[in-house]
Parts: sequence; C-alpha cells; structure tokens
Amino acid sequence: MATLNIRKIGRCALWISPVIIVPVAFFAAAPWLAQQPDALTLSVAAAAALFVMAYSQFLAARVNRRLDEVQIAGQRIANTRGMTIGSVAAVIVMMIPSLMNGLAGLAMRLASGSPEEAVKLGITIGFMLVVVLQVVGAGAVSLWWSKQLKKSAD
Amino acid sequence: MKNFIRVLRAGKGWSQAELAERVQVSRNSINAIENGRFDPSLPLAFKIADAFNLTVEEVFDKTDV
Repeated sequence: MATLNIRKIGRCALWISPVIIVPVAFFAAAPWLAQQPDALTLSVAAAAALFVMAYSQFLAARVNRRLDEVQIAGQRIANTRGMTIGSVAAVIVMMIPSLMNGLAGLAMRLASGSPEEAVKLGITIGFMLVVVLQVVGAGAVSLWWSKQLKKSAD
Repeated sequence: MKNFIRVLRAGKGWSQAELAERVQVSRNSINAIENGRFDPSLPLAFKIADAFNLTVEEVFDKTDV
C-alpha cells in the first residue's frame, strides 16, 4: 500500500514538475537573460508564462477525464474557490515590500535598465506569480475537499 | 439526501470499495454519498439502486428532498 502511494505521489510530482521547473529555470536564468537582447528576454518570459498556463490547462483536462461526478464537483469548487484564494494571495504577496522590490529589481536587471522593458517584464513576472498562486490555491482547496470526502470512511 | 446505502451495503457484505467498483466511481465518492455530503445525479442514483437490485426510492429517502 505504501509503495503504491509513493508511486502515485511520484507520478503526480513528475506530472506537476514542469509547472515548477519552468518558472524556477526562468528565474535561475535571470543573470544570463539580463545579458541578452531585450527581444529575446521578452520572448523567453512570454514563452515561459504561456507554457505554465497551457500546461496547467492540459493537466486539468487530463485529470478531469478520469474523475467521477463527485470528484468533478470537488474540482469545480477547487477551481472557483482556489482561483479566488490564489488571486487574493497574489495581491497580498505583492503587498510585501521586500518581495515587490525583489520582483521590480529582477525586472530591471532583466531589462538591462530600460524602463519600458522593465514594465513589460514586471507585468509578465507578476502574471506568472498570479497563475502559480492560483494553481497552488486550487490544489490546496482540492486537498481540503478530498479530506472532507474521506471523513467517516469505513 | 438521506439514504440507506450503508445498511444495504452491510446487508450484502460489501465494502465501500466494492460498491464503488460496481457503480464505477471512487470509494471516496461512495463515502460522500453515503454520508449525505453529496447528492448523486439521477444516472448515478439509478446505478447505485441497480447494484442493490432495488428502486431509487428504496435506496434514497424521498421524504428528505
């Protein structure tokens, strides 16, 4: 049973990993991107944001295929409440001065000092943050819902 | 909605997992329906009733609607 669970968790982690790896790789590549032309930096940022969004949608569709009606209802709750929680969390996180300064600094570094590019990159990075937090929020609500369903199990 | 799934299941000697397999849903879903946390759709209610060879009214308490 434990082996089965570990396998299940491992497979799940493997499927989810691109959503984590791409943003982490993007931020890790920040110093290198800062030395590249602005067009390339913007393209990479946009590609990363698009990938995270598209892959999240792909994962959602894949998971939904195998769900029964109770689980689909749970997913609906997770999506609506989780998205809202994620958006609110993003607003709260962005109100933290040190984090906001860090993001602005990162955007400035990536844009090589060009204010216009920095704004564009700042928006892209902020959007990625919102999407990631929404996914985390939906996941958290989904976990809470499945725990509710498991209560009083025999 | 109240239902008699737990009693009927016990009568047949089925676990939640066994009933879940018969009606092709997850065990957690059977648990949620059994405990009144989720009202099943009509097709699923019929499937559950069919599994017990009963009518929907005999499995689900319509006085609780």
